[in-house]
Amino acid sequence: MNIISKEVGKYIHITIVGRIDTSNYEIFSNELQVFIDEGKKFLILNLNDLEYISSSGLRIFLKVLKALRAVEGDVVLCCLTDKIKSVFEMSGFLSFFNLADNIDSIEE
Amino acid sequence: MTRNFLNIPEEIYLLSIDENGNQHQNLKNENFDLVISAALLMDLALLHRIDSDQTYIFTDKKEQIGDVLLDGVLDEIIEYNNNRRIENWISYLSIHGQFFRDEIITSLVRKSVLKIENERVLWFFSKRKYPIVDDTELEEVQSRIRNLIFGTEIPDERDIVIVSILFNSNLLGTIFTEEEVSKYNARIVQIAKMDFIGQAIGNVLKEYNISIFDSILKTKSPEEMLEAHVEKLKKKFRVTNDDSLPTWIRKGTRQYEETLKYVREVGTAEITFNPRLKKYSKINYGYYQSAFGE
Repeated sequence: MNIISKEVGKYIHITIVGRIDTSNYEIFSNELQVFIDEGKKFLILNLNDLEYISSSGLRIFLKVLKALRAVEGDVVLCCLTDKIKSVFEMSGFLSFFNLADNIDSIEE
Repeated sequence: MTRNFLNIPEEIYLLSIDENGNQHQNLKNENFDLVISAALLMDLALLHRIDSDQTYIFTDKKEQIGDVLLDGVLDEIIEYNNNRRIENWISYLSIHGQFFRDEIITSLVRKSVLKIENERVLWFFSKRKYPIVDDTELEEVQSRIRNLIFGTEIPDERDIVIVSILFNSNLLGTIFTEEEVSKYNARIVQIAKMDFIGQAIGNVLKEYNISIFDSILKTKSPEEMLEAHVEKLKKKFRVTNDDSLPTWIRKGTRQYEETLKYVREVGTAEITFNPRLKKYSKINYGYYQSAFGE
């Protein structure tokens, strides 16, 4: 897994490349926690290059969403492939998130 | 990580009994074994000892937890050292159902949540009951889950697990009225599907109960009764290859003929065989009855 991030206005754009699985979900969690600890409230997670996600990975998405909504922030999921979208759908997680088809549509 | 006072299987057990220790109709016998097996897996997942996707369970951290049941299951998963489908793990672990039940009750008695009560039924027979002595924990879980369903909050992972088990085991009635289930159905379904192991419970119970129903409808002769029983066992323990069956239920063996003879003698195929004593006996469902104070 590779995480690329950049700050654009009030948003942190985070692109996740590869897999979030048993071997690295804690790294993923720690990376996102850094932004929360820095007081960043709005995350855009670009999942276009996410290949696989396990239950532990999904739970981190929920944990981060819960933490940011508690401070009136948000997490937007962007650019989901059909495969990843179906995992989020099957697990019922999708309904809790705001979605975007592409980055531009969020910034507008 | 701080452990809750009760583990998930203990919470589910408490939610499934009334104040006298009688168990909900939907969670008796083998159904209980399957649901508790899934609850153990879900607790291990919350403790980061296993992980899963829609299909498989994987090992995560291998450190012991300090809980007899959870550590026992974790050991089995680590020892298996391979990926296995969620449904198969639930079915496979349910073979220890009687042990799980004993341990849950023992632990709840030790924690002073249940008490032991001996009741004399006839002059020669006494049965043991495990009524609730302190329902603080139970009320806490019930109120937490009710508030979650009636609200719009993002659920905690522990509450997702409880809702998922209750929904997929048809146990929502232990917390909600029928009207509430109907009114909040969308929210319940949304949260219940947030755990892949929870989703698998529904599949396993459905498969298992269909197989029992089929065997009741179709069974006639002792041969058919035994075949149906073997099929039920195969389904329950997910045996796909007949060669892996013990000889007493493997067709074509001399022991199978002995089994058939015993089925003819006792008129039921609900039997078991002790290979050490080389002795057949009828399955003792009385165990469940005494455990649930019926």
